[in-house]
Amino acid sequence: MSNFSVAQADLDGKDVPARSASRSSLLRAIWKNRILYLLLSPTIIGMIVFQYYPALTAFWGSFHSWDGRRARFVGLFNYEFFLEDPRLLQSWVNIFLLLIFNLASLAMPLLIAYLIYRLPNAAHRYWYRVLVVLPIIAPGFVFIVLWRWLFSLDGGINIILRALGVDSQVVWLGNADTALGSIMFMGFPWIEAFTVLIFLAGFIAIPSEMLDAAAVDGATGWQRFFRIELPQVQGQLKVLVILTFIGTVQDFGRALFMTRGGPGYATMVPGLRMYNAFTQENAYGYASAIGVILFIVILVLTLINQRLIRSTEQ
Amino acid sequence: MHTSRIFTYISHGLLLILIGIALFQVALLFIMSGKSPAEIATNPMLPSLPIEWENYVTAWNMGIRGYLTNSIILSVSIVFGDILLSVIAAYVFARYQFPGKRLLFGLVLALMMVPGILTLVPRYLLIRDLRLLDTLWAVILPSVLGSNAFQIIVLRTFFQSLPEELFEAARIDGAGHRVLLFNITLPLSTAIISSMAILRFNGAWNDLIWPLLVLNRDELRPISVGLVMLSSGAGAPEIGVQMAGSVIASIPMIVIFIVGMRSFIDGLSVGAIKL
Repeated sequence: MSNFSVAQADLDGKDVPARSASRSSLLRAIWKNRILYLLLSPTIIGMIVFQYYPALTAFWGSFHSWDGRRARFVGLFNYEFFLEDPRLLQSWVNIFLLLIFNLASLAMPLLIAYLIYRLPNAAHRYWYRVLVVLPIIAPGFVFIVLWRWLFSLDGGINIILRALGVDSQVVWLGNADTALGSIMFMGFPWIEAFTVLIFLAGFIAIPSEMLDAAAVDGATGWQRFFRIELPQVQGQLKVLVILTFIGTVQDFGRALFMTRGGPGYATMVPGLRMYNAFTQENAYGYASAIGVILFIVILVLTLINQRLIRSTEQ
Repeated sequence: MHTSRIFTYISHGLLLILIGIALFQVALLFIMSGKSPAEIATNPMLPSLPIEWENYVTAWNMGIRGYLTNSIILSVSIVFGDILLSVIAAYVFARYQFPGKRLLFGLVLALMMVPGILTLVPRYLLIRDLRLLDTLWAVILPSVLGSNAFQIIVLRTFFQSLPEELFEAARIDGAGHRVLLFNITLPLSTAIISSMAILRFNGAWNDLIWPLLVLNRDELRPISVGLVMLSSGAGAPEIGVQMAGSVIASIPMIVIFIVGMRSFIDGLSVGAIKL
Protein backbone atom coordinates (compact mmCIF):
# COMPACT_ATOMS: atom_id res chain seq x y z
CA MET A 1 0.00 0.00 0.00
CA SER A 2 3.04 2.25 -0.37
CA ASN A 3 1.44 4.51 -2.99
CA PHE A 4 -1.20 5.51 -0.43
CA SER A 5 1.26 6.47 2.27
CA VAL A 6 1.16 10.13 1.26
CA ALA A 7 -2.55 10.27 1.84
CA GLN A 8 -2.12 8.50 5.16
CA ALA A 9 0.48 11.04 6.27
CA ASP A 10 -1.85 13.91 5.42
CA LEU A 11 -4.76 12.36 7.25
CA ASP A 12 -2.68 11.95 10.37
CA GLY A 13 -1.24 15.45 10.05
CA LYS A 14 2.28 14.12 10.52
CA ASP A 15 5.39 14.46 8.37
CA VAL A 16 4.15 17.65 6.74
CA PRO A 17 7.08 20.07 6.59
CA ALA A 18 5.50 23.16 5.07
CA ARG A 19 2.02 24.34 4.13
CA SER A 20 2.68 24.73 0.36
CA ALA A 21 4.37 21.36 0.17
CA SER A 22 1.44 19.90 2.04
CA ARG A 23 -1.06 21.37 -0.41
CA SER A 24 0.71 20.06 -3.49
CA SER A 25 1.18 16.65 -1.93
CA LEU A 26 -2.48 16.62 -0.95
CA LEU A 27 -3.49 17.36 -4.53
CA ARG A 28 -1.10 14.69 -5.71
CA ALA A 29 -2.62 12.21 -3.27
CA ILE A 30 -6.13 13.06 -4.46
CA TRP A 31 -5.08 12.63 -8.08
CA LYS A 32 -3.36 9.35 -7.32
CA ASN A 33 -6.55 8.03 -5.72
CA ARG A 34 -8.91 9.40 -8.38
CA ILE A 35 -10.24 5.93 -9.17
CA LEU A 36 -11.39 5.54 -5.54
CA TYR A 37 -13.38 8.79 -5.70
CA LEU A 38 -14.86 7.62 -8.97
CA LEU A 39 -15.97 4.35 -7.37
CA LEU A 40 -17.55 6.23 -4.46
CA SER A 41 -19.18 8.90 -6.60
CA PRO A 42 -22.54 7.17 -7.33
CA THR A 43 -23.04 6.48 -3.62
CA ILE A 44 -22.01 9.92 -2.39
CA ILE A 45 -23.83 11.82 -5.15
CA GLY A 46 -26.91 9.67 -4.57
CA MET A 47 -26.86 10.45 -0.87
CA ILE A 48 -26.51 14.16 -1.49
CA VAL A 49 -29.24 14.24 -4.15
CA PHE A 50 -31.80 11.91 -2.56
CA GLN A 51 -31.12 12.43 1.16
CA TYR A 52 -29.18 15.54 2.15
CA TYR A 53 -30.69 17.88 -0.41
CA PRO A 54 -34.28 16.83 0.45
CA ALA A 55 -33.49 17.09 4.18
CA LEU A 56 -32.24 20.67 3.78
CA THR A 57 -35.19 21.46 1.53
CA ALA A 58 -37.53 20.25 4.28
CA PHE A 59 -36.01 22.72 6.76
CA TRP A 60 -36.23 25.52 4.19
CA GLY A 61 -39.80 24.63 3.24
CA SER A 62 -40.96 24.49 6.84
CA PHE A 63 -40.52 28.28 7.06
CA HIS A 64 -42.52 28.94 3.91
CA SER A 65 -46.05 28.83 2.68
CA TRP A 66 -45.33 26.49 -0.20
CA ASP A 67 -47.64 24.88 -2.75
CA GLY A 68 -44.81 22.91 -4.36
CA ARG A 69 -44.06 25.60 -6.93
CA ARG A 70 -44.13 29.03 -5.31
CA ALA A 71 -43.04 29.73 -1.76
CA ARG A 72 -43.55 32.71 0.54
CA PHE A 73 -41.61 33.16 3.78
CA VAL A 74 -43.91 32.86 6.79
CA GLY A 75 -41.45 32.40 9.65
CA LEU A 76 -42.63 29.97 12.28
CA PHE A 77 -46.26 30.04 11.19
CA ASN A 78 -46.33 26.38 10.04
CA TYR A 79 -44.89 25.20 13.35
CA GLU A 80 -47.34 27.28 15.39
CA PHE A 81 -50.25 26.16 13.22
CA PHE A 82 -49.38 22.51 13.80
CA LEU A 83 -48.47 22.67 17.47
CA GLU A 84 -51.46 24.84 18.41
CA ASP A 85 -54.08 22.84 16.51
CA PRO A 86 -56.28 21.48 19.34
CA ARG A 87 -57.51 18.55 17.22
CA LEU A 88 -53.94 17.34 16.79
CA LEU A 89 -53.36 17.02 20.52
CA GLN A 90 -54.94 13.59 20.07
CA SER A 91 -52.23 12.66 17.55
CA TRP A 92 -49.53 13.32 20.17
CA VAL A 93 -51.41 11.28 22.76
CA ASN A 94 -51.73 8.46 20.22
CA ILE A 95 -48.08 8.45 19.23
CA PHE A 96 -47.11 8.47 22.92
CA LEU A 97 -49.37 5.48 23.66
CA LEU A 98 -48.08 3.64 20.57
CA LEU A 99 -44.51 4.30 21.68
CA ILE A 100 -45.13 2.92 25.18
CA PHE A 101 -46.94 -0.06 23.73
CA ASN A 102 -44.30 -0.86 21.11
CA LEU A 103 -41.50 -0.62 23.69
CA ALA A 104 -43.40 -2.89 26.09
CA SER A 105 -44.11 -5.41 23.34
CA LEU A 106 -40.35 -5.91 22.88
CA ALA A 107 -40.87 -8.25 25.84
CA MET A 108 -42.45 -10.83 23.53
CA PRO A 109 -39.46 -11.39 21.22
CA LEU A 110 -37.24 -11.22 24.32
CA LEU A 111 -39.30 -13.98 25.97
CA ILE A 112 -39.33 -16.13 22.83
CA ALA A 113 -35.58 -15.73 22.36
CA TYR A 114 -34.91 -16.58 26.01
CA LEU A 115 -37.10 -19.69 25.99
CA ILE A 116 -35.43 -20.94 22.81
CA TYR A 117 -31.96 -20.21 24.21
CA ARG A 118 -32.68 -22.21 27.39
CA LEU A 119 -33.86 -25.35 25.56
CA PRO A 120 -31.37 -28.16 26.20
CA ASN A 121 -31.76 -29.80 22.78
CA ALA A 122 -29.91 -28.14 19.87
CA ALA A 123 -32.26 -29.57 17.24
CA HIS A 124 -35.26 -28.12 19.08
CA ARG A 125 -33.56 -24.73 19.24
CA TYR A 126 -32.93 -24.86 15.50
CA TRP A 127 -36.49 -25.79 14.57
CA TYR A 128 -38.05 -23.13 16.78
CA ARG A 129 -35.80 -20.62 15.07
CA VAL A 130 -37.12 -21.81 11.70
CA LEU A 131 -40.73 -21.49 12.92
CA VAL A 132 -40.12 -17.98 14.26
CA VAL A 133 -38.71 -16.85 10.91
CA LEU A 134 -41.32 -18.67 8.81
CA PRO A 135 -44.00 -15.88 8.85
CA ILE A 136 -41.55 -13.71 6.87
CA ILE A 137 -42.81 -15.52 3.75
CA ALA A 138 -45.95 -13.38 3.88
CA PRO A 139 -45.17 -9.72 3.13
CA GLY A 140 -46.27 -7.07 5.65
CA PHE A 141 -48.94 -5.52 3.43
CA VAL A 142 -50.73 -8.87 3.28
CA PHE A 143 -51.39 -8.59 7.00
CA ILE A 144 -53.11 -5.24 6.42
CA VAL A 145 -55.59 -7.10 4.21
CA LEU A 146 -55.93 -9.97 6.68
CA TRP A 147 -56.37 -7.84 9.81
CA ARG A 148 -58.89 -5.53 8.15
CA TRP A 149 -61.00 -8.65 7.75
CA LEU A 150 -60.24 -9.97 11.24
CA PHE A 151 -61.45 -6.67 12.77
CA SER A 152 -64.61 -6.39 10.65
CA LEU A 153 -68.17 -6.95 11.97
CA ASP A 154 -68.36 -10.58 10.83
CA GLY A 155 -64.58 -11.02 10.84
CA GLY A 156 -62.28 -13.37 12.68
CA ILE A 157 -62.06 -11.60 16.06
CA ASN A 158 -65.84 -11.44 16.48
CA ILE A 159 -66.22 -15.02 15.22
CA ILE A 160 -63.77 -16.23 17.86
CA LEU A 161 -65.48 -14.15 20.58
CA ARG A 162 -68.91 -15.48 19.58
CA ALA A 163 -67.56 -19.03 19.65
CA LEU A 164 -66.41 -18.30 23.21
CA GLY A 165 -69.93 -17.17 24.12
CA VAL A 166 -69.47 -13.38 23.89
CA ASP A 167 -72.06 -11.86 21.55
CA SER A 168 -69.65 -9.31 20.06
CA GLN A 169 -71.06 -6.89 17.48
CA VAL A 170 -68.09 -4.49 17.67
CA VAL A 171 -66.71 -2.99 14.46
CA TRP A 172 -63.25 -2.82 15.96
CA LEU A 173 -61.68 -0.26 13.61
CA GLY A 174 -64.84 1.80 13.23
CA ASN A 175 -65.34 2.54 16.90
CA ALA A 176 -63.45 5.45 18.48
CA ASP A 177 -63.09 3.50 21.74
CA THR A 178 -61.52 0.41 20.20
CA ALA A 179 -59.73 1.67 17.05
CA LEU A 180 -56.35 2.56 18.60
CA GLY A 181 -56.28 -0.55 20.77
CA SER A 182 -57.09 -2.64 17.71
CA ILE A 183 -54.20 -1.12 15.77
CA MET A 184 -51.92 -2.02 18.68
CA PHE A 185 -53.34 -5.54 18.92
CA MET A 186 -52.67 -6.09 15.20
CA GLY A 187 -49.88 -8.59 14.74
CA PHE A 188 -50.43 -10.28 18.11
CA PRO A 189 -48.32 -11.91 19.60
CA TRP A 190 -45.83 -9.41 18.13
CA ILE A 191 -43.01 -11.91 17.58
CA GLU A 192 -40.85 -10.00 15.11
CA ALA A 193 -38.41 -12.53 13.64
CA PHE A 194 -35.45 -10.20 13.27
CA THR A 195 -35.83 -8.96 16.86
CA VAL A 196 -35.94 -12.53 18.18
CA LEU A 197 -32.76 -13.38 16.26
CA ILE A 198 -30.98 -10.30 17.63
CA PHE A 199 -31.84 -11.24 21.23
CA LEU A 200 -30.99 -14.88 20.58
CA ALA A 201 -27.57 -13.94 19.22
CA GLY A 202 -27.00 -11.92 22.39
CA PHE A 203 -27.97 -14.77 24.73
CA ILE A 204 -25.85 -17.30 22.83
CA ALA A 205 -22.81 -15.04 23.18
CA ILE A 206 -22.93 -15.16 27.01
CA PRO A 207 -19.79 -16.95 28.21
CA SER A 208 -20.62 -20.25 29.91
CA GLU A 209 -18.07 -19.60 32.72
CA MET A 210 -20.28 -16.75 33.85
CA LEU A 211 -23.28 -19.06 34.16
CA ASP A 212 -21.22 -21.80 35.83
CA ALA A 213 -19.99 -19.33 38.42
CA ALA A 214 -23.58 -18.29 39.11
CA ALA A 215 -24.58 -21.94 39.49
CA VAL A 216 -21.77 -22.52 41.98
CA ASP A 217 -22.97 -19.50 43.94
CA GLY A 218 -26.44 -21.09 44.04
CA ALA A 219 -28.26 -18.46 41.96
CA THR A 220 -31.96 -19.12 41.38
CA GLY A 221 -33.47 -19.00 37.90
CA TRP A 222 -34.79 -15.47 38.41
CA GLN A 223 -31.46 -14.21 39.76
CA ARG A 224 -29.68 -15.82 36.86
CA PHE A 225 -31.99 -14.07 34.39
CA PHE A 226 -32.07 -10.59 35.92
CA ARG A 227 -28.51 -10.40 37.26
CA ILE A 228 -26.59 -12.12 34.46
CA GLU A 229 -28.46 -12.86 31.27
CA LEU A 230 -30.56 -9.71 30.89
CA PRO A 231 -27.60 -7.34 31.50
CA GLN A 232 -25.65 -9.31 28.89
CA VAL A 233 -28.18 -8.44 26.17
CA GLN A 234 -28.35 -4.78 27.21
CA GLY A 235 -26.46 -3.76 24.05
CA GLN A 236 -29.03 -5.48 21.83
CA LEU A 237 -31.86 -4.01 23.91
CA LYS A 238 -30.45 -0.51 23.48
CA VAL A 239 -30.27 -0.84 19.69
CA LEU A 240 -33.81 -2.23 19.54
CA VAL A 241 -35.19 0.51 21.80
CA ILE A 242 -33.68 3.16 19.52
CA LEU A 243 -34.98 1.40 16.40
CA THR A 244 -38.43 1.19 18.01
CA PHE A 245 -38.35 4.92 18.83
CA ILE A 246 -37.34 5.81 15.28
CA GLY A 247 -39.81 3.40 13.70
CA THR A 248 -42.82 4.31 15.84
CA VAL A 249 -42.50 8.09 15.62
CA GLN A 250 -42.30 7.94 11.82
CA ASP A 251 -44.84 5.20 11.19
CA PHE A 252 -48.21 6.11 9.78
CA GLY A 253 -48.77 3.09 7.54
CA ARG A 254 -51.15 1.31 9.88
CA ALA A 255 -53.12 4.48 10.62
CA LEU A 256 -53.34 5.24 6.89
CA PHE A 257 -54.38 1.81 5.67
CA MET A 258 -56.39 0.52 8.62
CA THR A 259 -58.41 3.58 9.70
CA ARG A 260 -57.32 6.70 7.75
CA GLY A 261 -56.68 8.15 11.21
CA GLY A 262 -60.29 7.80 12.26
CA PRO A 263 -62.91 7.55 13.42
CA GLY A 264 -62.56 11.28 13.92
CA TYR A 265 -59.01 11.72 15.21
CA ALA A 266 -59.04 8.50 17.27
CA THR A 267 -56.05 6.94 15.48
CA MET A 268 -54.49 10.09 13.98
CA VAL A 269 -50.70 10.33 14.25
CA PRO A 270 -48.48 13.29 13.26
CA GLY A 271 -47.00 11.38 10.30
CA LEU A 272 -50.45 10.81 8.82
CA ARG A 273 -51.34 14.48 9.26
CA MET A 274 -48.19 15.26 7.27
CA TYR A 275 -49.14 12.76 4.56
CA ASN A 276 -52.63 14.22 4.27
CA ALA A 277 -51.33 17.80 4.22
CA PHE A 278 -49.21 17.18 1.18
CA THR A 279 -51.24 14.60 -0.72
CA GLN A 280 -54.63 16.26 -0.28
CA GLU A 281 -53.99 19.92 0.50
CA ASN A 282 -50.76 20.71 -1.40
CA ALA A 283 -49.55 22.25 1.90
CA TYR A 284 -45.88 21.41 1.35
CA GLY A 285 -44.54 23.95 3.84
CA TYR A 286 -46.86 22.76 6.57
CA ALA A 287 -46.03 19.11 5.79
CA SER A 288 -42.30 19.93 5.88
CA ALA A 289 -42.71 21.53 9.32
CA ILE A 290 -44.32 18.35 10.66
CA GLY A 291 -41.43 16.34 9.18
CA VAL A 292 -38.90 18.61 10.91
CA ILE A 293 -40.74 18.35 14.24
CA LEU A 294 -40.76 14.54 14.04
CA PHE A 295 -37.07 14.58 13.13
CA ILE A 296 -36.35 16.66 16.25
CA VAL A 297 -38.47 14.32 18.39
CA ILE A 298 -36.53 11.31 17.08
CA LEU A 299 -33.21 13.07 17.65
CA VAL A 300 -34.06 14.07 21.22
CA LEU A 301 -35.46 10.64 22.14
CA THR A 302 -32.37 8.94 20.74
CA LEU A 303 -30.02 11.22 22.67
CA ILE A 304 -31.98 10.82 25.92
CA ASN A 305 -31.98 7.06 25.45
CA GLN A 306 -28.22 6.98 24.93
CA ARG A 307 -27.65 9.23 27.96
CA LEU A 308 -29.90 7.08 30.16
CA ILE A 309 -28.23 3.84 29.09
CA ARG A 310 -24.79 5.30 29.66
CA SER A 311 -25.66 6.47 33.17
CA THR A 312 -27.11 3.08 34.13
CA GLU A 313 -23.96 1.41 32.86
CA GLN A 314 -21.80 3.49 35.19
CA MET B 1 -25.99 -25.11 34.02
CA HIS B 2 -28.74 -27.70 34.19
CA THR B 3 -32.16 -26.66 32.97
CA SER B 4 -34.92 -28.35 34.94
CA ARG B 5 -37.27 -30.65 33.08
CA ILE B 6 -40.42 -28.80 34.19
CA PHE B 7 -38.99 -25.52 32.92
CA THR B 8 -38.29 -27.18 29.58
CA TYR B 9 -41.86 -28.50 29.29
CA ILE B 10 -43.32 -25.09 30.12
CA SER B 11 -40.97 -23.52 27.54
CA HIS B 12 -42.16 -25.90 24.84
CA GLY B 13 -45.77 -25.16 25.73
CA LEU B 14 -45.36 -21.37 25.64
CA LEU B 15 -43.29 -21.45 22.45
CA LEU B 16 -45.77 -23.68 20.65
CA ILE B 17 -48.77 -21.56 21.67
CA LEU B 18 -47.22 -18.16 20.89
CA ILE B 19 -45.45 -19.13 17.68
CA GLY B 20 -48.55 -21.14 16.77
CA ILE B 21 -50.73 -18.01 16.95
CA ALA B 22 -48.30 -16.20 14.66
CA LEU B 23 -48.18 -19.10 12.21
CA PHE B 24 -51.97 -19.46 12.26
CA GLN B 25 -52.22 -15.97 10.74
CA VAL B 26 -50.05 -17.11 7.84
CA ALA B 27 -52.07 -20.30 7.56
CA LEU B 28 -55.28 -18.24 7.44
CA LEU B 29 -54.14 -16.67 4.17
CA PHE B 30 -53.90 -20.11 2.59
CA ILE B 31 -57.06 -21.47 4.21
CA MET B 32 -59.25 -18.52 3.26
CA SER B 33 -57.81 -18.28 -0.26
CA GLY B 34 -59.52 -21.58 -1.06
CA LYS B 35 -63.00 -20.72 0.18
CA SER B 36 -66.11 -19.74 -1.75
CA PRO B 37 -68.25 -16.83 -0.42
CA ALA B 38 -70.74 -19.36 0.95
CA GLU B 39 -68.01 -21.24 2.80
CA ILE B 40 -66.57 -17.93 4.15
CA ALA B 41 -69.99 -17.09 5.59
CA THR B 42 -70.31 -20.37 7.49
CA ASN B 43 -66.78 -21.54 8.27
CA PRO B 44 -64.17 -18.90 7.38
CA MET B 45 -61.18 -19.88 9.50
CA LEU B 46 -60.87 -23.67 9.41
CA PRO B 47 -59.70 -25.73 6.43
CA SER B 48 -62.43 -27.12 4.23
CA LEU B 49 -62.99 -28.91 0.93
CA PRO B 50 -63.50 -28.47 -1.95
CA ILE B 51 -60.82 -25.85 -2.61
CA GLU B 52 -62.14 -22.92 -4.62
CA TRP B 53 -59.29 -22.56 -7.15
CA GLU B 54 -61.45 -20.05 -8.99
CA ASN B 55 -60.32 -17.42 -6.42
CA TYR B 56 -56.78 -17.60 -7.78
CA VAL B 57 -57.94 -17.22 -11.38
CA THR B 58 -60.10 -14.23 -10.44
CA ALA B 59 -57.29 -12.55 -8.49
CA TRP B 60 -54.80 -13.20 -11.27
CA ASN B 61 -57.09 -11.59 -13.84
CA MET B 62 -58.03 -8.65 -11.59
CA GLY B 63 -54.60 -7.14 -12.08
CA ILE B 64 -52.43 -9.27 -9.80
CA ARG B 65 -50.54 -10.57 -12.84
CA GLY B 66 -49.41 -7.06 -13.81
CA TYR B 67 -48.70 -6.04 -10.21
CA LEU B 68 -46.57 -9.14 -9.71
CA THR B 69 -44.54 -8.38 -12.84
CA ASN B 70 -43.95 -4.79 -11.70
CA SER B 71 -42.91 -5.92 -8.23
CA ILE B 72 -40.42 -8.41 -9.67
CA ILE B 73 -38.91 -5.79 -12.00
CA LEU B 74 -38.67 -3.23 -9.18
CA SER B 75 -37.33 -5.56 -6.50
CA VAL B 76 -34.72 -7.25 -8.68
CA SER B 77 -33.43 -3.90 -9.99
CA ILE B 78 -33.31 -2.44 -6.49
CA VAL B 79 -31.50 -5.45 -4.99
CA PHE B 80 -28.98 -5.56 -7.83
CA GLY B 81 -28.27 -1.81 -7.86
CA ASP B 82 -28.23 -1.39 -4.11
CA ILE B 83 -25.95 -4.36 -3.39
CA LEU B 84 -23.56 -3.47 -6.23
CA LEU B 85 -23.11 0.13 -5.07
CA SER B 86 -22.93 -0.89 -1.41
CA VAL B 87 -20.26 -3.50 -2.08
CA ILE B 88 -18.15 -1.05 -4.09
CA ALA B 89 -18.42 1.72 -1.49
CA ALA B 90 -17.78 -0.65 1.43
CA TYR B 91 -14.71 -2.07 -0.38
CA VAL B 92 -13.23 1.38 -0.89
CA PHE B 93 -13.93 2.48 2.69
CA ALA B 94 -12.65 -0.79 4.16
CA ARG B 95 -9.39 -1.27 2.27
CA TYR B 96 -8.00 2.17 1.33
CA GLN B 97 -6.73 5.37 2.83
CA PHE B 98 -7.30 8.57 0.87
CA PRO B 99 -7.76 12.29 1.60
CA GLY B 100 -11.28 13.11 2.76
CA LYS B 101 -12.11 9.51 3.69
CA ARG B 102 -13.24 10.46 7.17
CA LEU B 103 -15.53 13.18 5.81
CA LEU B 104 -17.07 10.94 3.16
CA PHE B 105 -17.64 8.06 5.55
CA GLY B 106 -19.06 10.58 8.01
CA LEU B 107 -21.63 11.48 5.33
CA VAL B 108 -22.63 7.81 5.19
CA LEU B 109 -22.80 7.42 8.98
CA ALA B 110 -24.78 10.64 9.48
CA LEU B 111 -27.47 9.32 7.16
CA MET B 112 -28.51 6.93 9.91
CA MET B 113 -29.83 10.03 11.70
CA VAL B 114 -31.86 11.31 8.72
CA PRO B 115 -35.32 9.77 9.06
CA GLY B 116 -37.40 9.03 5.99
CA ILE B 117 -40.26 11.15 7.25
CA LEU B 118 -38.11 14.30 7.09
CA THR B 119 -37.16 13.79 3.45
CA LEU B 120 -40.45 12.35 2.15
CA VAL B 121 -42.09 15.55 0.92
CA PRO B 122 -39.06 17.16 -0.78
CA ARG B 123 -38.04 13.81 -2.29
CA TYR B 124 -41.48 13.56 -3.87
CA LEU B 125 -41.09 17.08 -5.32
CA LEU B 126 -37.60 16.21 -6.55
CA ILE B 127 -38.94 13.17 -8.40
CA ARG B 128 -41.72 15.34 -9.82
CA ASP B 129 -39.24 17.98 -11.00
CA LEU B 130 -37.06 15.28 -12.59
CA ARG B 131 -40.23 14.30 -14.50
CA LEU B 132 -40.03 10.76 -13.16
CA LEU B 133 -43.51 10.53 -11.62
CA ASP B 134 -45.41 7.56 -13.02
CA THR B 135 -42.27 5.77 -14.16
CA LEU B 136 -40.66 2.80 -12.44
CA TRP B 137 -37.52 4.96 -12.07
CA ALA B 138 -39.39 6.98 -9.43
CA VAL B 139 -39.18 3.93 -7.19
CA ILE B 140 -35.86 2.46 -8.33
CA LEU B 141 -33.62 5.56 -8.22
CA PRO B 142 -34.27 6.71 -4.63
CA SER B 143 -34.19 3.09 -3.43
CA VAL B 144 -30.79 2.45 -4.98
CA LEU B 145 -29.12 5.84 -4.58
CA GLY B 146 -28.55 7.19 -1.10
CA SER B 147 -30.57 4.67 0.90
CA ASN B 148 -27.81 2.12 1.52
CA ALA B 149 -25.99 3.58 4.53
CA PHE B 150 -26.78 0.56 6.69
CA GLN B 151 -25.58 -1.90 4.05
CA ILE B 152 -22.33 0.03 3.53
CA ILE B 153 -21.61 0.15 7.26
CA VAL B 154 -22.22 -3.57 7.82
CA LEU B 155 -20.29 -4.65 4.70
CA ARG B 156 -17.39 -2.32 5.51
CA THR B 157 -17.01 -3.93 8.93
CA PHE B 158 -16.98 -7.35 7.29
CA PHE B 159 -14.53 -6.39 4.51
CA GLN B 160 -12.15 -4.92 7.08
CA SER B 161 -11.91 -8.35 8.70
CA LEU B 162 -10.54 -9.95 5.51
CA PRO B 163 -6.74 -10.57 5.67
CA GLU B 164 -4.67 -7.87 3.94
CA GLU B 165 -2.15 -10.48 2.69
CA LEU B 166 -4.66 -11.73 0.10
CA PHE B 167 -5.03 -8.26 -1.35
CA GLU B 168 -1.29 -7.57 -1.17
CA ALA B 169 -0.48 -10.77 -3.06
CA ALA B 170 -3.02 -10.01 -5.76
CA ARG B 171 -1.70 -6.47 -6.14
CA ILE B 172 1.82 -7.78 -6.63
CA ASP B 173 0.41 -9.93 -9.44
CA GLY B 174 -0.90 -6.72 -10.99
CA ALA B 175 -4.57 -7.11 -10.07
CA GLY B 176 -6.77 -4.04 -10.43
CA HIS B 177 -9.85 -3.01 -8.46
CA ARG B 178 -12.11 -5.18 -10.60
CA VAL B 179 -10.16 -8.34 -9.76
CA LEU B 180 -9.70 -7.38 -6.10
CA LEU B 181 -13.41 -6.74 -5.75
CA PHE B 182 -14.99 -9.49 -7.83
CA ASN B 183 -12.40 -12.28 -7.56
CA ILE B 184 -11.21 -11.81 -3.99
CA THR B 185 -13.65 -9.82 -1.87
CA LEU B 186 -16.93 -11.18 -3.22
CA PRO B 187 -16.17 -14.92 -3.07
CA LEU B 188 -15.22 -14.50 0.61
CA SER B 189 -18.42 -12.59 1.40
CA THR B 190 -21.17 -14.59 -0.28
CA ALA B 191 -22.92 -15.46 3.00
CA ILE B 192 -23.27 -11.90 4.28
CA ILE B 193 -24.04 -10.49 0.83
CA SER B 194 -26.76 -13.03 0.09
CA SER B 195 -28.47 -12.51 3.46
CA MET B 196 -28.27 -8.76 2.86
CA ALA B 197 -29.73 -9.23 -0.61
CA ILE B 198 -32.62 -11.25 0.83
CA LEU B 199 -33.32 -8.56 3.43
CA ARG B 200 -33.19 -5.86 0.74
CA PHE B 201 -35.47 -7.89 -1.51
CA ASN B 202 -37.92 -8.29 1.36
CA GLY B 203 -37.80 -4.54 2.03
CA ALA B 204 -38.33 -3.62 -1.63
CA TRP B 205 -41.15 -6.16 -2.00
CA ASN B 206 -42.87 -4.74 1.11
CA ASP B 207 -42.46 -1.08 0.19
CA LEU B 208 -45.92 0.44 0.13
CA ILE B 209 -46.17 4.17 0.83
CA TRP B 210 -43.50 5.47 -1.56
CA PRO B 211 -44.75 3.57 -4.66
CA LEU B 212 -48.29 4.61 -3.72
CA LEU B 213 -47.15 8.25 -3.80
CA VAL B 214 -45.20 8.25 -7.05
CA LEU B 215 -47.10 5.71 -9.17
CA ASN B 216 -50.62 6.79 -10.03
CA ARG B 217 -51.14 4.65 -13.10
CA ASP B 218 -52.58 1.29 -12.15
CA GLU B 219 -50.53 -0.63 -14.72
CA LEU B 220 -47.27 0.49 -13.05
CA ARG B 221 -48.18 -0.43 -9.50
CA PRO B 222 -46.31 -3.09 -7.54
CA ILE B 223 -48.25 -5.83 -5.78
CA SER B 224 -48.07 -4.11 -2.37
CA VAL B 225 -49.99 -1.08 -3.61
CA GLY B 226 -52.15 -3.10 -6.00
CA LEU B 227 -53.34 -5.57 -3.41
CA VAL B 228 -54.04 -3.02 -0.67
CA MET B 229 -55.92 -0.79 -3.13
CA LEU B 230 -57.80 -3.78 -4.53
CA SER B 231 -58.98 -4.76 -1.05
CA SER B 232 -60.06 -1.21 -0.15
CA GLY B 233 -63.27 0.55 -1.01
CA ALA B 234 -66.61 -0.49 -2.39
CA GLY B 235 -65.47 -2.47 -5.42
CA ALA B 236 -63.33 -4.86 -3.36
CA PRO B 237 -63.56 -8.52 -4.42
CA GLU B 238 -64.57 -11.37 -2.09
CA ILE B 239 -62.25 -11.95 0.86
CA GLY B 240 -61.32 -15.33 -0.63
CA VAL B 241 -60.06 -13.58 -3.77
CA GLN B 242 -58.14 -11.04 -1.67
CA MET B 243 -56.48 -13.89 0.20
CA ALA B 244 -55.63 -15.67 -3.06
CA GLY B 245 -53.92 -12.43 -4.13
CA SER B 246 -52.09 -12.37 -0.79
CA VAL B 247 -50.83 -15.91 -1.28
CA ILE B 248 -49.61 -15.02 -4.79
CA ALA B 249 -47.82 -12.00 -3.28
CA SER B 250 -46.01 -14.35 -0.90
CA ILE B 251 -44.63 -16.66 -3.60
CA PRO B 252 -41.18 -15.03 -4.02
CA MET B 253 -40.38 -15.20 -0.31
CA ILE B 254 -41.73 -18.76 -0.16
CA VAL B 255 -39.34 -19.73 -2.96
CA ILE B 256 -36.42 -18.02 -1.21
CA PHE B 257 -37.36 -19.75 2.03
CA ILE B 258 -37.51 -23.21 0.47
CA VAL B 259 -34.33 -22.79 -1.58
CA GLY B 260 -32.20 -21.34 1.17
CA MET B 261 -33.92 -21.91 4.51
CA ARG B 262 -30.76 -22.78 6.38
CA SER B 263 -28.52 -20.08 4.92
CA PHE B 264 -31.41 -17.62 5.14
CA ILE B 265 -31.78 -18.07 8.89
CA ASP B 266 -28.05 -18.32 9.50
CA GLY B 267 -27.57 -15.20 7.39
CA LEU B 268 -30.22 -13.32 9.36
CA SER B 269 -28.47 -14.39 12.55
CA VAL B 270 -25.13 -13.16 11.21
CA GLY B 271 -26.77 -9.85 10.33
CA ALA B 272 -28.21 -9.74 13.82
CA ILE B 273 -24.79 -10.20 15.39
CA LYS B 274 -23.26 -7.56 13.17
CA LEU B 275 -25.87 -5.11 14.37
